[in-house]
Amino acid sequence: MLIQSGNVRALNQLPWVGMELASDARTDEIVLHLIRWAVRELQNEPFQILFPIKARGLEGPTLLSPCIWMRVKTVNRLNRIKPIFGLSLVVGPNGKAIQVEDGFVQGLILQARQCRQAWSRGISEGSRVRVLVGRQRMLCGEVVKLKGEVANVLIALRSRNVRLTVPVGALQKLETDAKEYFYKES
Amino acid sequence: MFSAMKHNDFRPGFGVEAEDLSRYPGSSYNQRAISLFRQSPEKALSNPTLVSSEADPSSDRSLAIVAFATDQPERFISLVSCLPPTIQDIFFQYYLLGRTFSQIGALLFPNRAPNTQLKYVKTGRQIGLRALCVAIKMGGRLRKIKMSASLKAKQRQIVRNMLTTGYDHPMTFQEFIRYPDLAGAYEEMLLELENGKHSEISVSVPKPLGEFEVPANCDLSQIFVPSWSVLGPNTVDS
Repeated sequence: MLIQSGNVRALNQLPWVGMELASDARTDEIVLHLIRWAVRELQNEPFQILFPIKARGLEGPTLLSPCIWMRVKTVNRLNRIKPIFGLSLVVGPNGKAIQVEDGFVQGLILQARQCRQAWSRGISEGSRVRVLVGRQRMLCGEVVKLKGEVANVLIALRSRNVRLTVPVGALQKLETDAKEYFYKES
Repeated sequence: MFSAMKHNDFRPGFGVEAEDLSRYPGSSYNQRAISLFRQSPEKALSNPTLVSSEADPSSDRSLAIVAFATDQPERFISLVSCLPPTIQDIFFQYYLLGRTFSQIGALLFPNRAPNTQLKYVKTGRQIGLRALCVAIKMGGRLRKIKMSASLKAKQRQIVRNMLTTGYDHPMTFQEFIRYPDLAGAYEEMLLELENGKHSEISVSVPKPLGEFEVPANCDLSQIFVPSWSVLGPNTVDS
């Protein structure tokens, strides 16, 4: 997932810096903190954050690389990232962030873009699916309608039904015939 | 687990009076500390540090139900299925799927304010836990009662039955939930259930969720949502 803000064309060809995950906290929560930090600290400056997701599953995302990548106009500004729990800049022996050329990260972006389709591949009307992201995460249901990249999923709770309109990319196709909405693989 | 409930019983002359505890901040911790002291006064007094469920995670009873749901999911599902549907939804989403109270509340009571949603879910879980203990003690024989219930009054009767028949000293529903707000919240929850029983809720997720490139100012909370499964139930329990 590529999260970006501002005039990102100004960042073309600029190097990226890697940020290592340094805790067992949920990866996507760390990325959320990073984005909020960037919006607050960098204000109107453009930035790009690559959250290179290889696969999404019950346990959360699996990454294509052990780092989350970010680029801004002035790399030094990223030194103030220290307060974000579970994240640290990849630095060299001189204590400065190691800069990685744009070509390498563009390759990762391409791979991540291809991977995005994988976990929802094969979803059609009647498929049993799990919602992977968003406030309805973890709930299972049946695709009742599919229109382009948007699916209509019926989730049968015990007390009522929920009809969820959601992008297909937020769904995982379940291979088994999970009848209950709280189905969980053992 | 059932005996654990007895230690926190608020009936007059049995256990600690709720009014006494409610004067103090963090009264649920006080209840746990008192309960631990009753189990083993020597251990509680001889320890150099405060004995509490925070100091000794193994004594945290809220983990018992988590362990039960994890170790015996089929038995858990069968027992929870005896409870009213709204409480079933709270239990399945909280204990099996690791969803937070606020996520559950927003889904089950979408027309209510966030604080009320939270209150409903917490109340439902409290009542459900007690009822589940009764169901465990009765060997899950509550299904028949549930099958005959269709009206709000009957549902209240079921809960009353669950609560009275499972204890050595029968008590009424009102005695059990001595707090008016707790009783009120449950009643409102049942009304909500009645209203929504045959209806469908429609929810839409913003489009950027499925796109590869996401603007930093989109609704990020839709993409990144917390789960208590990493932090543990106590962090969202109080």
